[in-house]
Amino acid sequence: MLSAARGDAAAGGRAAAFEGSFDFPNAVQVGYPLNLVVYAGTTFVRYPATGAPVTGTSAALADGTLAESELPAFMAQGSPTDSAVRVVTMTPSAIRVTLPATFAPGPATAVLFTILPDGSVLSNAIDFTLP
Amino acid sequence: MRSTSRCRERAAAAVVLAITLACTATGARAQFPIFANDPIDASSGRAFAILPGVPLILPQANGKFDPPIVVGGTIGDVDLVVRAGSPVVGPGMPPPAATPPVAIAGGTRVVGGSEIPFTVVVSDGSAGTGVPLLGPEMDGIPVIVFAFADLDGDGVVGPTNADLDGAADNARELQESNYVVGRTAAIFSNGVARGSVAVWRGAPASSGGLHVVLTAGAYVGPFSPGFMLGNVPDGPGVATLLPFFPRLDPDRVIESKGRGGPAGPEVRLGVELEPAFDPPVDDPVLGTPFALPVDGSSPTIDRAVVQSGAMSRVRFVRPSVAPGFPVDAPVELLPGAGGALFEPLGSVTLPDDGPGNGVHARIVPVDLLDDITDPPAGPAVTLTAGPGMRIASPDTDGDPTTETIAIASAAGVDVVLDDLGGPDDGPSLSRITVAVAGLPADALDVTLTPSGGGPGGGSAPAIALAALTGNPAGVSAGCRTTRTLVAVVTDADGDAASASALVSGAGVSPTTIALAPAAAPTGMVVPPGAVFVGALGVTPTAPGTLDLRIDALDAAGHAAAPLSLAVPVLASVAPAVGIPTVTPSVASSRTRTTLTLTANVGDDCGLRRVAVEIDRGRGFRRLARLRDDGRRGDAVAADGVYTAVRRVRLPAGTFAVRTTAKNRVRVTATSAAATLQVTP
Repeated sequence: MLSAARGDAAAGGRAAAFEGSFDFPNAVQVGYPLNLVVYAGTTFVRYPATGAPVTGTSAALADGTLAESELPAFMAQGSPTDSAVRVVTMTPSAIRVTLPATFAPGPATAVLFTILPDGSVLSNAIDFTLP
Repeated sequence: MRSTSRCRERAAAAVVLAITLACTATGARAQFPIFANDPIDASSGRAFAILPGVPLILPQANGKFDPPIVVGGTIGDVDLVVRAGSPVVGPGMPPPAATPPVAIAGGTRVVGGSEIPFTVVVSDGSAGTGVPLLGPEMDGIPVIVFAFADLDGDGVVGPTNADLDGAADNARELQESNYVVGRTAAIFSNGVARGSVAVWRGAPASSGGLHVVLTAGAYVGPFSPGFMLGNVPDGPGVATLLPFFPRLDPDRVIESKGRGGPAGPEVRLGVELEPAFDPPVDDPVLGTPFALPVDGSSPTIDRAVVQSGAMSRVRFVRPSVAPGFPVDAPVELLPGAGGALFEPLGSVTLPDDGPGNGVHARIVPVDLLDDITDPPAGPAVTLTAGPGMRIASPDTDGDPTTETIAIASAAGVDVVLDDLGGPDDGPSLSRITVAVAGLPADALDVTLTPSGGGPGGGSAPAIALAALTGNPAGVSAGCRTTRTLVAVVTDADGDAASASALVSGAGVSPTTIALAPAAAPTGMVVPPGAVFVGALGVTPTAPGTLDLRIDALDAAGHAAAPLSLAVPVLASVAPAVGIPTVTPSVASSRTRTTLTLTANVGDDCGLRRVAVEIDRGRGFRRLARLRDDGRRGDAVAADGVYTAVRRVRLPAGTFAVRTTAKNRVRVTATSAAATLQVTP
């Protein structure tokens, strides 16, 4: 689950920091297929714990939420990001990411999910504001 | 886990403690030779779980270890041995790795690190670490390898009084034993399980990396469909030595009653290893059985070194302070340059009082897992002050709202943050942002409090005393000095809230120490006021002066006038040697008298020899060598109070006794003399 979120801004771009609990030990040891998604409107960036981020737009986000049933199609959307967009920090209780330039000041939402052979798991969605 | 004691010895202990130990063989023992000769719990028919070298520990009738019941005559022998690396396992148990392997933090899945290879071997429990049991009985049984880190660099995982800080840092050392830094599963095949574990905590390579220990544990029994869906062996727990006695109830250890499937090296692991009770330290019965040395001397475990990964960003930190450390909450401890220990810093409070009375924060380079690391050559970071704030130091560009700083080493950079403008003219909340390559890397929330004349009125506190324990002559260059810094703060409003010290000089990078409310050290006379205590641990590299600036704030944000301490740093300093105390101080010439000799002795470079000498009329000669290891009459290990107990018979008269000490750089010192009266 995600318990806190905040956005930061500097001259060269924006970042978001999240606190919560997720399956960090298994992500580190076995590459548990964790994904963090940050979205504002239909613009999203998805950060796989074990791969390169992708960004783009998705109609699935038009209602402001990401549902479990939308995950398979959502996973196919987006394209690779600039190398500056990445997971900056991952600890047992925190994740910090840098965001694409397509993210402007304003409200944003984040959610964690994983897709497993026997089903998907979605965290709570958390809203925050990008400065 | 089983006992090396004979059954009749165990039975004797059982009678005393009203515990029934059955000595008859069971089906499980026949099926699994690892349980041969184990004491059996008659109520379950299963082997007791006993850690190697540790007495049998049982819960109270309510199932809680509060307190644990110790069956002293029943000592666990070796069931499992874990070795770093991939040694060949033959007729004899492989020794610990001659040189601990070195890994890069984080493994290979989420970062470009590396893993620590390991080998777990089943032992027959015979002498020493036993002989490998290389039969097929354990085939398919998973074993979990857990890594624990020596975060404070004292050479031990878990609480111990035998380090330089004694008992003062035991609460902080629980962070080492209570939280694993890596874990994985491996599967036994012919008594051996091999694999590799990713460890997510590391330290800068320039500081020698982080020392971790590898331990292992398993449930041993058949896979039964009626138990944990057939995914977990239905049998007792066995383990190497661990940094605590664990909860073993499978319902508390295995997630979701085994619904996650069988454990393996490539699947998600749902286990939770927790202590059944806090590891005892200098317990009268148990001693300190769970403190794990990281030097390869503990026979059932092994060790490795983990270096931090590549720099990912910078972050704000503050020095970790042992006094007042929370006992039950997880706290991220970050080993840094030179062995310094830091904690994350997310917010600070400072008075909106105009220039002066700023706060210190340190910016350090960290890897993706937030381990402090060595930066690549010359990364520059940019600090940006939010509304009402300024960057007081460093200030190379004359612009107080922004500063570009080179991060040259894992030590990072100390910055001083202050309010902008005059008193009470800023917002109540602000923020300092640090960016790398233009992207925000961390942010520090700032709460600005009213200045001394601000809302609520009241008066500023005053620092009545600032003092450093230990040798008043000074500290030795080149030796790590560990002292306790004490500040007494008075405040007419009675709301003294915080104190800190900025340490610099003599080659020591400026470091801020947060002092916490605590009792003054035993024997220190302090004036009335609120006592704040902090641990100073620095290594001056050159003779000169170690400068300490002590600051204090009250709850309303009023700042005290800073107080400065200048501590001489000398090329060599003789040990601080106290006059010996002789108990009893009067003995009889007619009988042999047992004398207890104690003396306070300290030295930054470490002591080679401490003794009490007596002058029987022909000059001083050694009476006894004193020790500070908590043994043979010494009450507390490593507390600086050296003790010897000596039985003597002396002729009537008055004898001078004195303390002598030699440190590790061969500088000696002698105390003034005390007297011992011997009556006719």
